[in-house]
Amino acid sequence: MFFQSQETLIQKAQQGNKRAWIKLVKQYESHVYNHCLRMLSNPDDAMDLMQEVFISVYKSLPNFRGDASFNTWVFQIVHRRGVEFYRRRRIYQPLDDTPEQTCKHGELEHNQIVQLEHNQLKVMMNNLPWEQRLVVELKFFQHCTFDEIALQLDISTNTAKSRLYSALGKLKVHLEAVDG
Amino acid sequence: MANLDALFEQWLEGKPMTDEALEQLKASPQYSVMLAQAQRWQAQSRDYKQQHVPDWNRSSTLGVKARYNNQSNSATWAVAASIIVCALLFLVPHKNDQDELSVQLAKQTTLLQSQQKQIDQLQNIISAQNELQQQYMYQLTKEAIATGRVERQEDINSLISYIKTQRAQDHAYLRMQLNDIAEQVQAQPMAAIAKN
Repeated sequence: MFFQSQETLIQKAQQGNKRAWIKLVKQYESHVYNHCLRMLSNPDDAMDLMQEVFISVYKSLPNFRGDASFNTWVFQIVHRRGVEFYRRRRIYQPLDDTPEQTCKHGELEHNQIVQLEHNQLKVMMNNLPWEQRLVVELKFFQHCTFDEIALQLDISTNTAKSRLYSALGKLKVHLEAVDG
Repeated sequence: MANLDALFEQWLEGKPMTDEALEQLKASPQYSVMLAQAQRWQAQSRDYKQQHVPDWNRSSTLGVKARYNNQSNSATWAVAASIIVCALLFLVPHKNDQDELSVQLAKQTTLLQSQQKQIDQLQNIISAQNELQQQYMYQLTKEAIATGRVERQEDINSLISYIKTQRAQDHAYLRMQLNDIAEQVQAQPMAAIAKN
């Protein structure tokens, strides 16, 4: 198979080429899935959100004009869908009551290991409100600058900074409470 | 303070910092705490192991639109193929001689005529079959109506005969009762008969 640049893939996907779209999905799925997993702390929810995101991206694909990078554009959609998903989940199932596991099949053991490995991260993340969690995710896990965070979340740079500083303050309070 | 804020931001943005500047941050009670928390997040990020995405159906992200696009693609391809065939038909004879062209043309004409004949024959057969089918349908309908009529007639006849039988039985019974009463009246003494 010949190498195809991302621009070519996007163009082909915009024209309805299924193969190009699947390739694009494969390029971004790991990035998106891990982002969703860190944000939601539940593999099943992360899968659901990732699927919703890609459906949304596909629907909006004809509107992509290349003003921002495709990655930025995709993650803008990820953030929008993420907020909606989080609100929906919060209505039907408070975060504290989220079951540790809902899988029943072969992925159960794998998920349990994942949960254990990332338990501390999960606790730290869940301790933050969604907006602050998002800024922490972008700053420390996606290594974005404040300007990039502001662009992706459609907020000012100062708001991004203040959200991050608040998140850092909250972590301190939480750790003090945990450590006694 | 503003200076420390700028330094902390610089550190967060991953820009190079002197040891002296870092010491300044660590010396500040407010920023040293935030620096420690940020380092903690950085450690989490560093230790985070990327998780494999579980198997999932990527095609499920394709909506109805994809099918339409595929249809339009196939339509585009069909149109393109037709144009290419027409162009080939148009261009290929130009490469041959005039005689070959006329022979080819004659052949094509004959072929077309025979095809046209076949098409006409097929059309005739189809129309004949249609007529036959219509006739069969007409016959079937007629028969169904006639059968229904006969059945209804038979039902009515049996009903009438039943009513007649019933009526005759009723008459006989009434007649018997009247006879009984007449006999009783005749057997009675005259004094017991009411005088009107």
